[in-house]
Amino acid sequence: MLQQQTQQRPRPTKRNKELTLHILMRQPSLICLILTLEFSISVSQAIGSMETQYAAVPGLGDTEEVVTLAYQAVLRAEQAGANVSELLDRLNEATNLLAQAQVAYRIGHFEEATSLASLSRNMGVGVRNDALTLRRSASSESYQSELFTVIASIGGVALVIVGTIGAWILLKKRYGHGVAGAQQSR
Amino acid sequence: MISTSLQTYRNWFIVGSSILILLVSTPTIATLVHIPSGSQRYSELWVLDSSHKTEDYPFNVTAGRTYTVYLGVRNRLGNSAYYRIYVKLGNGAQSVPVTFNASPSQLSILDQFDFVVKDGDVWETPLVFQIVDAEQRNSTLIIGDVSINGITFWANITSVWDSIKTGFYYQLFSELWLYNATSQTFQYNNRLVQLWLNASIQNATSY
Repeated sequence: MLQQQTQQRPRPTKRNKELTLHILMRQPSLICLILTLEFSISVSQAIGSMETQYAAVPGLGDTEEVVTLAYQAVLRAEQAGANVSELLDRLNEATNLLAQAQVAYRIGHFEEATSLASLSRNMGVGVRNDALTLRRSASSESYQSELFTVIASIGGVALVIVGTIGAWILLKKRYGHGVAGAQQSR
Repeated sequence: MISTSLQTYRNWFIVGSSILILLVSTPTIATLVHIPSGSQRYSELWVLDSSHKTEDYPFNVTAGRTYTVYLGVRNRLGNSAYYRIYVKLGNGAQSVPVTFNASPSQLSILDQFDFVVKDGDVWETPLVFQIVDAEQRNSTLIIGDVSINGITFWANITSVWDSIKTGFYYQLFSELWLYNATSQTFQYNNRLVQLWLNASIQNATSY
């Protein structure tokens, strides 16, 4: 197996190298042409590789997008204060299936990759939808909680101010009576 | 003397009520003002031996035998993070990740792990590997197939006999990648763990 896959290239002889160099030195335009051709080939190869990435399993690229969108939705739900433990477990199953699909694709098991990608995608869609619902719910709860805190604080501050003023007036009155009584007894 | 006492009371009232107001309004201040955490945010990546220690890593590996290590990640980023680990195999002379400019290795990926970790949590997985197929040709060793967690990968990596360290050396390394929600791509997190392996085949010729 190893022998079959190990290819040997013919080694260029010294004479061939000298001849090539001689031609190139005499023809600078040929160098430019070769470089341009090489650049064009590499650019087209790069574009081609992007287009043909996961070409055998077209759903695999979509699956990665679905799973990352699900992660982003879970992250936002978490930042909104939701408990995302259960969602994270399900998301982990989706990410694990995605990894398995990508590995299966790399080793040429395209049918397995398709099947795993499909499972991962479905799971990712479910997680994303639930995360969006959870986020809405958590945002609403968080807003209500914040509103309650602010109202309670304002009420508390008002109560402290009123209580302090009331106590001060009461103290002042008693203190005034005490002073008047002391003056009368004199 | 009397007016001085009243003045003292008034001062006590002002101080007391100010403290009470501050206490009562603390929850609102905490809700409205978000102070950024001063703690450093990072991810940890480690590899442990089969006993979950750092003592007995596989080094002298023979084709056909199975070896186990554990890969672990701890998230200290302040929120749940989506990680990816790429497992790669190379010989000592091949491309390895460069720490100073955070560039990953250009070697082809063998295995891959995707997972999401909650802030402060740990993720761990066994990495069971085996050189399935290797061939020695004079002073070179060619590893053909490598099995990782039961999946066989075509590696095709040649190592030349190292006469100083006496062996055919390979590096099995794991790179940590992190999903960036802003750029919406996985980026190399500049974390890697690697195992140096001195590979051999049974009944091999030594130099």
